[in-house]
Amino acid sequence: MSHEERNTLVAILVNLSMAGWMTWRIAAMQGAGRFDGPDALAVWARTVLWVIPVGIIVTIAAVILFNIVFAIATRDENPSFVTDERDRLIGIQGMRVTLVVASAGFLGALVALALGAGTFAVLNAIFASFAAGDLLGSLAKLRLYRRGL
Amino acid sequence: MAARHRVANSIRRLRFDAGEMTQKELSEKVGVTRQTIVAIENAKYAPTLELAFLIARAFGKPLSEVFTFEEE
Repeated sequence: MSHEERNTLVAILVNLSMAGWMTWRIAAMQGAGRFDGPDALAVWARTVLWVIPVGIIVTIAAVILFNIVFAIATRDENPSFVTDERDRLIGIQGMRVTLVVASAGFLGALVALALGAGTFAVLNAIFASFAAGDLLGSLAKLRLYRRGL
Repeated sequence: MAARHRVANSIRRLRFDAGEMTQKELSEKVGVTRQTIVAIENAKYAPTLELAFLIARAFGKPLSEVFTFEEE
């Protein structure tokens, strides 16, 4: 398993964990009536905003940890961290999937808004579509690593 | 309808002829991952022209002896 393939696998695990945790947190906050007041959108934005730096830090920590565990498990004293042309090509294909899914989700959210859906639900749908785009892009990359370009 | 083509290669044989050069050794010579060499050998990835030349140079062979363009 190459360095970039390991990173892709870690990205999938982190994405699933973060998305699951965010879904639980937003649902819990909604249940507690935190989004009922006049500052509901500001509360939602503050909740979602800090997910970005936390996600980056968790991903970096998980990549380092996974690489250490992988090196120990495979008894590889000189693990390779090379990124090559195939990694870049697979990265572009994955990014394409991410963009298509996120764009479709954004468009769907705009249509829902035009049809009268609530702002809060639309914002959640946009956030979910970006998370789904990231996940599906990583899954597409993993599939390309396993089955070939 | 245009015929489908694929890039075939003789890397496995050339590695054997080069004293059983490992995939890892070849990958280090040309600066790619071992997985990319595996993918090229199994015809699951067609390398760029630059990488193809680097692989040919690693064996000291002309490009046409390492890679061939075949009809499927």
